[in-house]
Amino acid sequence: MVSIDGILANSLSLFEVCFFVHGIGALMLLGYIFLRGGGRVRLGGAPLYVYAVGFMGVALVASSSFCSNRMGAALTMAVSVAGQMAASALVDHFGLFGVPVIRWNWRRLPPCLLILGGLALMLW
Amino acid sequence: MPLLVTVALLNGAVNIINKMVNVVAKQSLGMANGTLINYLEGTLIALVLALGLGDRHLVDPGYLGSIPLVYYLGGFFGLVAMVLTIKGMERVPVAVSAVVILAGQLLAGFVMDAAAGRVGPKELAGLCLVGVGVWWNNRQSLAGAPAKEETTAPG
Repeated sequence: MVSIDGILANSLSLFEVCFFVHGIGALMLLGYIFLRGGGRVRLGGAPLYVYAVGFMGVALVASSSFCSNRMGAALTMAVSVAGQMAASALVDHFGLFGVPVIRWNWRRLPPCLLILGGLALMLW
Repeated sequence: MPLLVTVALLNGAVNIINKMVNVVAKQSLGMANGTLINYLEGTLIALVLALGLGDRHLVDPGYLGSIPLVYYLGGFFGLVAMVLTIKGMERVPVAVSAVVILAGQLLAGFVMDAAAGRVGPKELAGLCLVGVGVWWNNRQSLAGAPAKEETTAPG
């Protein structure tokens, strides 16, 4: 997906790419809901922060297209994975979104250093 | 390069928050409606931003038609990936799904760059180190997890 979006970003602006990525997905989902889900679209009733997902989705598509076009898909994915590991550790450490708390501890330092070493190798 | 690395790091962080929020959306509204919110909002926000910033390709059907159809399939793959991720986080132990998802992302990046002839031994070695680090970190994370409980966040 990231790579195809990156190619599309050669012809369109980042937000135009986002428009097509989300628009095509929305049409497919609406088709599914009307064909298989009984045609009931229900968008209300979720916690308020759920309605920020659209902003995050646009940010994700725009940033991955922006980066993969300039530094390659492999490096983009590797750095993004490092970001995911860091965010996951924070979510676990503080028990965000209701997940059980798993405190960060020093035993997780060596794998983190290994990830940083891998990134350093790719960057330099 | 520092800007690109920072943006890619933030991309990863937002990715995790987005997944967690999507799981909550799915629990509140069901799989299809919970996912639909993401896509409908994204469509509107992207449209407003594109037109607001003066991008005019969206109102030029001739230009849009000149782009190969396959380039528009990112939305399809994104939707499939999101549904598989949510399903996977439900049915597979988080420890497994987290590593599989991250390894899949690394592999996809490698394949795409390899196809474009942009991957050398240095990049391959770096990707392998990151992959091993992800797996190792996940093992250490599980060692510190409460007994008989599962987290919904990878890492």
